[in-house]
Amino acid sequence: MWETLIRWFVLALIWLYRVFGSSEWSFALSIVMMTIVVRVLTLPFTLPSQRSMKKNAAKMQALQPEMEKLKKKFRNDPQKLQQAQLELYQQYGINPLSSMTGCLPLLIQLPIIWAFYQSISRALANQPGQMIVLSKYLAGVPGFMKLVPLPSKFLWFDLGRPDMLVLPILVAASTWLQQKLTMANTPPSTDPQAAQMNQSMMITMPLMFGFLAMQMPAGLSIYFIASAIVGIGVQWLTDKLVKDGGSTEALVIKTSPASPMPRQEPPKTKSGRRKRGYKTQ
Amino acid sequence: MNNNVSIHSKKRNTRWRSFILLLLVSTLLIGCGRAIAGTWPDLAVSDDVVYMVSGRVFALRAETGEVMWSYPGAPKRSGGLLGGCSAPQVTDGPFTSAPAVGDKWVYIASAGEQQRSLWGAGENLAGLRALNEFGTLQWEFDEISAPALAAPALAGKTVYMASSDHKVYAIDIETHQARWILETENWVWATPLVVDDRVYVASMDHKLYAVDDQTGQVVWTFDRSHSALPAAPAYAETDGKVLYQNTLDGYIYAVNAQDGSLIWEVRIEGTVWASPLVQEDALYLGTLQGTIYALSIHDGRTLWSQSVGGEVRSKPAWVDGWLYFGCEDGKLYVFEAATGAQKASPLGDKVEKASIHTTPIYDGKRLYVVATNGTVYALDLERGMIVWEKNPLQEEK
Repeated sequence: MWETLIRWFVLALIWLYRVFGSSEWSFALSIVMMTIVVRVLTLPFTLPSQRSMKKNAAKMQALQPEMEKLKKKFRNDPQKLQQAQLELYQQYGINPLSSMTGCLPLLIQLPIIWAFYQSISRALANQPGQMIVLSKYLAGVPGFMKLVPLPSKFLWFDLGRPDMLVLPILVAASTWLQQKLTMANTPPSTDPQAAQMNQSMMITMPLMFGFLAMQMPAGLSIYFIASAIVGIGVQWLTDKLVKDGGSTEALVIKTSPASPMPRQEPPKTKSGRRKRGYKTQ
Repeated sequence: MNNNVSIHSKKRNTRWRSFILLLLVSTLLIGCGRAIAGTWPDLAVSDDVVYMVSGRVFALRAETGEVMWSYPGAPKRSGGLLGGCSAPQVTDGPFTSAPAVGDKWVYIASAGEQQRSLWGAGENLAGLRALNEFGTLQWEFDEISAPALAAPALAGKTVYMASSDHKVYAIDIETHQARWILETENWVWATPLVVDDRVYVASMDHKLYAVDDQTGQVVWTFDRSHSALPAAPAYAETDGKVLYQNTLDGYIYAVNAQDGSLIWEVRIEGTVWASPLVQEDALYLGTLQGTIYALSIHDGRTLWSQSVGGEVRSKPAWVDGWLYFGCEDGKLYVFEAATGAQKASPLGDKVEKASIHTTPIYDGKRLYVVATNGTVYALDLERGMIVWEKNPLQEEK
């Protein structure tokens, strides 16, 4: 199963390499194209998860004044505070375990991304043992065997070997940008510990990916960069979807007879009518 | 539990913790995931010494299997949290191919890479090493920029070394300098074949080169192959001077060694990694799909074929009309060369959880076999038994 998945990714990469003209640029282009395809294929997992997390974050943000009040009220009774907070979450339809379930789609797509990552390594076979595995993948596929070994040169990089400077910097920069955009669209944390952690992740994540890029073949760095760029696109799409269809929903209270929240006026269409499906109290 | 921490912040922390956990798992997978072995052990026998190469070079006494020396010395594993993932510190190599044994020195090719860092190029571990009979380094040739994966060839006063930097170096053993360098268009993973005054080089660029050994000039190039050439050609003078070249896509070409013209070509089912063995009127070879073929040397027609239990990555050993093929399933298959009839192997099922990817070597007394776990077996073919077995890698642990 696992090997079959990797083999199909390898065949797709080499097919794209042929489609792009089997030239020096072709393999890098096929990595980029496959990254886009893989990210699009995993969108059904990524998008709902990001959307749900974003909605949750917006709801949490809206709840902040209430939370502060509860903290003050139950300053000396943490158990009651916890209970009151849970009740508040229930009132607003927030699932406290949603952050855990948000990881599930990520876990589901991880094997796909990992198989793709492995397939890049295997297609770039630069040792006899790796070439044997690759040639067994290609055996029986007409015209593919003549394409290997794939040319590993791309610009001044050798895709089969680590690049020590340019690509790690690009990997770190694109990861940082993706992180930055993610953070910018997430309400700032009121918890100083979490805020500090966010801040530290902004620095350590890009550095770590940059370091990994220095250890791995340059072809994989291209995958990281393309993946980060696609990730930025997915983030933009999520924001747009949430803004268009979900931001107002975040402020709607399910059942709150004594809600301290100010009542939200439902948005109106251009003709002045209320949007269809908008919940009112 | 800290009383001041709200459920909200705990949720955020949990999210970050999960994220960091996933990241760590991914990083560990990247660093320590199942890697495909790029190479496998190799073997050479000369003057009652068995040389087993698997990262390092071990010289074993052919009579007893006793380890005489190893080059370089035993590596030290670095400690620390990720010590299990980090490679042991070696002072030279790694070495992956059999040595060429001369009168004075033993020549080994290093698959080490030029060490690189942000601050520029560092120590170059790729190249040729000449060791004395005690395994002490005498001189080296390191003017190559990529791993040398094939065994070097020795002829007269020249060592021919192929490299992944696309080149073949003819190194004078007296001056320790390259007499000539052949540049191809891709990696060269095949040991150069030296016949009289010609050097034949099979390259992964799909071409077979014939080079004049005196001048280093290319005499002819055979470029009709549809795929890469991973192994050296076989040579025979049965039908004139003919080279028999295998390719990755299963073609076998008979090429006139004088002018590079094609004599015949056949395609067999499967991928042929190793050179064919030429003996009498037949070519013997195995495929990665697990089939052994005997082909006529005259026209390439199939004389017989047999199935085995896995990949065949090496050519067979020939002993008194019997062929000994190593196989991925850890078995040593024995076939009668004339008929393809199979008989029981003296190795039996002794090799467990390992493969035999290396050509067995017969020194006139015993047949030596090495498994991928580094165990060397000395077999007495007449009595059908194992004389000794030794794993120098495990002995050091």
